[in-house]
Amino acid sequence: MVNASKPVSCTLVGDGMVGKTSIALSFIGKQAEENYVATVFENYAGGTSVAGEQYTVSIYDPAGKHDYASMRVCTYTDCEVILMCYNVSDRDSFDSIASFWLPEVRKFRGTKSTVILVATQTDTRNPDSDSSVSTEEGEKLAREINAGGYMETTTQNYDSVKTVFEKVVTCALKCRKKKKTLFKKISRR
Amino acid sequence: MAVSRSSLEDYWTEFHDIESTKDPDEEEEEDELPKTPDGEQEARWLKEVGLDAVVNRIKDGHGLTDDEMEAVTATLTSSQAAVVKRRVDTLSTTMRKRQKQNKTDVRDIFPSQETVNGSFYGSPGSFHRLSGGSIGEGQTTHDHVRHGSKPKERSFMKRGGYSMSGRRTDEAVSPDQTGIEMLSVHPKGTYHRPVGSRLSGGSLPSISDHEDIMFELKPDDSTHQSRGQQRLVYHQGSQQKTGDNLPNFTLVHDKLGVTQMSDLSASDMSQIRSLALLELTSMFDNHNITYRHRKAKKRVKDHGLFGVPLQALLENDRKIDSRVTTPIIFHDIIQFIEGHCLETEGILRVPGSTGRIKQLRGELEDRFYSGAISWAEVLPHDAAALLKQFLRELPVPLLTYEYIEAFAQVESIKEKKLQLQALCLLILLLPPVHRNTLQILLRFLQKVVSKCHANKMSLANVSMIMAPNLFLVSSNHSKFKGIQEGEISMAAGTSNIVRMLIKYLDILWTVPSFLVHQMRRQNEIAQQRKGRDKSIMKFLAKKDKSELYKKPPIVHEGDFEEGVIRVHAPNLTKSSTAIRLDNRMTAGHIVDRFRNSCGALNPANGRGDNKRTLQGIYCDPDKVSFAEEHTYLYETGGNICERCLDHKTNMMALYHVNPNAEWVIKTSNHR
Repeated sequence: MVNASKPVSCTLVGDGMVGKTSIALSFIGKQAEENYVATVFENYAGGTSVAGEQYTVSIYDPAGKHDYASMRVCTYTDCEVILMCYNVSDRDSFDSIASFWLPEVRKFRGTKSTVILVATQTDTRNPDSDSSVSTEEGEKLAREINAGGYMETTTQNYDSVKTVFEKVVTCALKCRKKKKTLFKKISRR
Repeated sequence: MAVSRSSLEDYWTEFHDIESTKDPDEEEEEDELPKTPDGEQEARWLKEVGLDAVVNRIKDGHGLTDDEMEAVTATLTSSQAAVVKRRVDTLSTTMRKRQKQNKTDVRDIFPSQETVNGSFYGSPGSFHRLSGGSIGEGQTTHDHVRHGSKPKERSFMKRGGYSMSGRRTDEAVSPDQTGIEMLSVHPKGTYHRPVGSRLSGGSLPSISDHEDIMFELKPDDSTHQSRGQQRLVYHQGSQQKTGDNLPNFTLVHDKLGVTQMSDLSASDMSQIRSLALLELTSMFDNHNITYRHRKAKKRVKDHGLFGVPLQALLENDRKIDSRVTTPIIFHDIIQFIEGHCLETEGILRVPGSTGRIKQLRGELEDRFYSGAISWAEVLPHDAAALLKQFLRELPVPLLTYEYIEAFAQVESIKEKKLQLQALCLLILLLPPVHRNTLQILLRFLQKVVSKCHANKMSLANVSMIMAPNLFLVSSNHSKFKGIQEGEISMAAGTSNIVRMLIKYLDILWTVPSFLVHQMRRQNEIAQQRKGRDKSIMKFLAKKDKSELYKKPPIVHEGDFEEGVIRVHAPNLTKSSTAIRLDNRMTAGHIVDRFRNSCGALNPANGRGDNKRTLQGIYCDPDKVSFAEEHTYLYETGGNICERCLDHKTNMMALYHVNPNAEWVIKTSNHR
């Protein structure tokens, strides 16, 4: 039905230092580096299985925000799913989703792009702190921006990372299916 | 060094691969240039190095005679002269074509008498250089390059058609082929025109071809030292354990004193600037590097803070404080981050909140000069973001449209020491306000890196973040699909440059001693020639600065004798003091002596001691306060306009280099 051999591609976006590279590294089974190394642009590939089928996920990991913006913009056209990440203990990065990332993605991808909202570093969440972002807030934002899903993750727990990318695959497949049925409808006429 | 070079090798091979695939247009352009020469590039270049007279002359349809050409290049080294010659040739060829008149050229009537068998560069001059016993690592590479072992010969190497980037190959020119090529055969590596009469006090030692003078691995040249001139040498230290892959260089002390860029007067700096451009062009020619001047934006704001050229900001700020050398807003932002946010994790990397930044920026624009900004509530990441915005929005980028590409191209030089030298020359070429602003920015970045254990911003991270803000990668994404390989390599390359700028900041802000030396020489010759040859002087009218260097006639007082200098201290009540020099006396000693005579007994040894807590010294009746750490001896007149002396300067050596100078004790704001 769906061409499984074609890899699913996604792009990680979000402010600097929220842990985009860490998620990607964790997913492909590598330990995130102890020292923080700023990313310019990386590309990873990892495997996951959904409904018994094996899929390859290729992950674009461009630099955060303003630095190297032009490079990042290129990745939007190439990917099926966009993962918008924020750090739960950094409210600024959460605010950036609505004020910066969503407008940018909409600008280059239109409104139809599949977005998954990802809350990172949930192990650092401190409910008493003002800057900490709660699950409810995250879910609310996901509904507002019409995201394909809201996920919470931490690199301390591999399963939470894995579920994120399983979600990526299911979203991508849904999207492909839609296109296909649309195509069929048109061709029937 | 071996370590760093090999680890970068992969990068370079990749870089070149990408470069060669990326820009076929550029290559073409380069080769086509001589076919459709308009000469404007050359004319602009010649004007920039201060040879307007030559350009006008050629444009008027006159050629240059051998003598005139020689006069122009007399104070240049052979490689510099070759560079000038190449441009002059291209320009005159162009002009002749344009005029379409087949006049007999002066040069056809006077064919060069010597045969020029191949050795354009490798003639007695380089022998002199080699016999000097200073064959550095870089030098051998260089000779290799220079001796024209270039595999492909360029098709345009005829009748003096050179591109801005083209290099002369060592063709043997047959004697009957009279052409302009022959003109520029300067068989000397040193100055071509021997100085007829000895300058009073002692002339400068001749400067050999100095491609590598600045970067010797060891101070090996004893002859030079015995003449009282030590080369500026860098010691290459062992690899640091910071993992930044950059070797440690230290500046070896120069007997004549280390000259920082802020030490020289404006007129000296502009002369050094011309020499630096010559030197850089010669270096880039040797490495076949071309760079384009980026196009400038047309409309520019002239008021406000963001998006205003540095020059305009500085002019406004000077109305508030005449001593400022960098825009106050930029200085303040940096000072705030330095004071409060150096240890914030991810400083410069974490973007802050867009909304707050916008608001802060609005407040700054409205109220910055009225002083109603309270920095206390500003958050670290917002301030850092603002700093980056400021840089990105400069209508004239910090590295300037002219040289931004050249800065990036330095990466394609393979020898680290030559990269350093190229960067130093480029910094000399920046307008003062850009140079100063870049300096405080880099010093700030250095401080950020020094706290990297706390803020996680290592040298590599800081460079990577700052590179796109300094090099302003153009966003031409609409044209392409997918990620540009070139962009990634550009990112790697420019980050490397930023890394070097941060790491070698102090070395890079030192004026290479060979340039200072060459400038002294030029001034001496200009002074000499003034009295001797009026016609040539007319020709060089633009460059004549001898008025500035005129020394009042020596009054033969009783104490005027060899080895005795008179030191003036206009800020003190003393009018002048005669000081007998001995071989070990430094500028610092002399400054001390004035302190001592004013009541202070601090024996200062050099700049290193400046941090001592010092109280101002009160000098008798007038109570002139003399902040000790800012007091320096200045060398003025003679063969230089004005130079602030490093406290370690050996006075005897300097006295021999510039016997006609006056010596003045003054305070400096910059050192």
